[in-house]
Amino acid sequence: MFENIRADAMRVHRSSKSHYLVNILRSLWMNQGFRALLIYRFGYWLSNVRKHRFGWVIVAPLYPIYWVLSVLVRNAYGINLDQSANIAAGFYINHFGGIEVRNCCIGPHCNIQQQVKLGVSETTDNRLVIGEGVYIGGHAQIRANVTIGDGATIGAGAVVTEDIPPKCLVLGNPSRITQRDYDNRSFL
Amino acid sequence: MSQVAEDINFAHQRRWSNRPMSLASRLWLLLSSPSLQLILLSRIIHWSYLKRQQGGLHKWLGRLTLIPIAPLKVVIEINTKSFICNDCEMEGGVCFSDQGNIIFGALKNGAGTVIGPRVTVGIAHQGRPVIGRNVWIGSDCVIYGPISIGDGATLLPGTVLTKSIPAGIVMQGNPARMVLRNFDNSKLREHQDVDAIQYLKTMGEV
Repeated sequence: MFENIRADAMRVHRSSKSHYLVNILRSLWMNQGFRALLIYRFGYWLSNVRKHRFGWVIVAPLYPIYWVLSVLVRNAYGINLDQSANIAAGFYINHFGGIEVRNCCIGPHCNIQQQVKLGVSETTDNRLVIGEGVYIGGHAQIRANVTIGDGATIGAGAVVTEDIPPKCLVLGNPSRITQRDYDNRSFL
Repeated sequence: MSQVAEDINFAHQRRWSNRPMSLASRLWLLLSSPSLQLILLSRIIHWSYLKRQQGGLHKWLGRLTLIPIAPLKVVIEINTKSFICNDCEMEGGVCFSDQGNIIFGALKNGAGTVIGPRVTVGIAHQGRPVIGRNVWIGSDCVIYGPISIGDGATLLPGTVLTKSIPAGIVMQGNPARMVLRNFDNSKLREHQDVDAIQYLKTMGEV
């Protein structure tokens, strides 16, 4: 849990050389999405601890705290990071409001914005898979079980319904690949 | 302060067009409408930002005002789920939707502009637009890029706009396409409860 949170804080402060605890506190003050992500990581850690034989001893007092915090974040910021989503380290949420992430598997070093809807509401065997270093712009919707390649860029307002190869720029509704070999590392 | 008064008058006209304006009704509007509070606070933040850009004593005055502003900003941002950039130059008489979820980062915003809920204006790495006067922007719109929107333009709900548009034009779709030219959107701007697409259909039949 802690390595992931450390990596997330590094995303908020890109070129920070300060101590990582200072970095986490500054990210908590600056970025609302980081607060939501911290609570999501806490809940994910609790669900892992519960698998242990005597895990319920730790989980029983902590789970109500997680539940209250997650409801608060969902209503205050409008960021709904469901426990059915599997988010790797280095996730960054820019702005807040109307974010829904569920039933998906997100790779490391990804970036989402406000009003992004990821994943279908019902649980199935094949999930939405998002690769490494994917930038998803504001108001984008991916409500299908598709695979999105590493380094892809999904533009603002795009509605994705098909698989996307790596390093593509996708725009429009319905989405079209407008550019291949698009480098998003400058703004990720 | 005059800009805030214009905002309140515009919102009053939109909500209660048949009622006379009095001091009490204006105050009640300011207390009941989170978007007006957001605009009021963003104007104060913009003033403070300009002070901080100057040197000497002005800089410290600007920093001092941040102490009461910061907690208010947290409360109002959570209440409206909106964010307005502190260097956005807004003219008086701007109306934001009470439903919020607005991320607003335009460079300039003209008078008489109406902005709907769940609108994003400006993306950091893509550039920031300049919005003209009397523009009507519907819900779920995304506007980005170094573009300018002409006076009296209309963006129907769900538009994604990345190119400059002239005055008096109606755009729709993702990517945005032109629907009409020389459209008068004064009825859309002055009344709160007009369904834009229905209104355009009735205009087309006449």
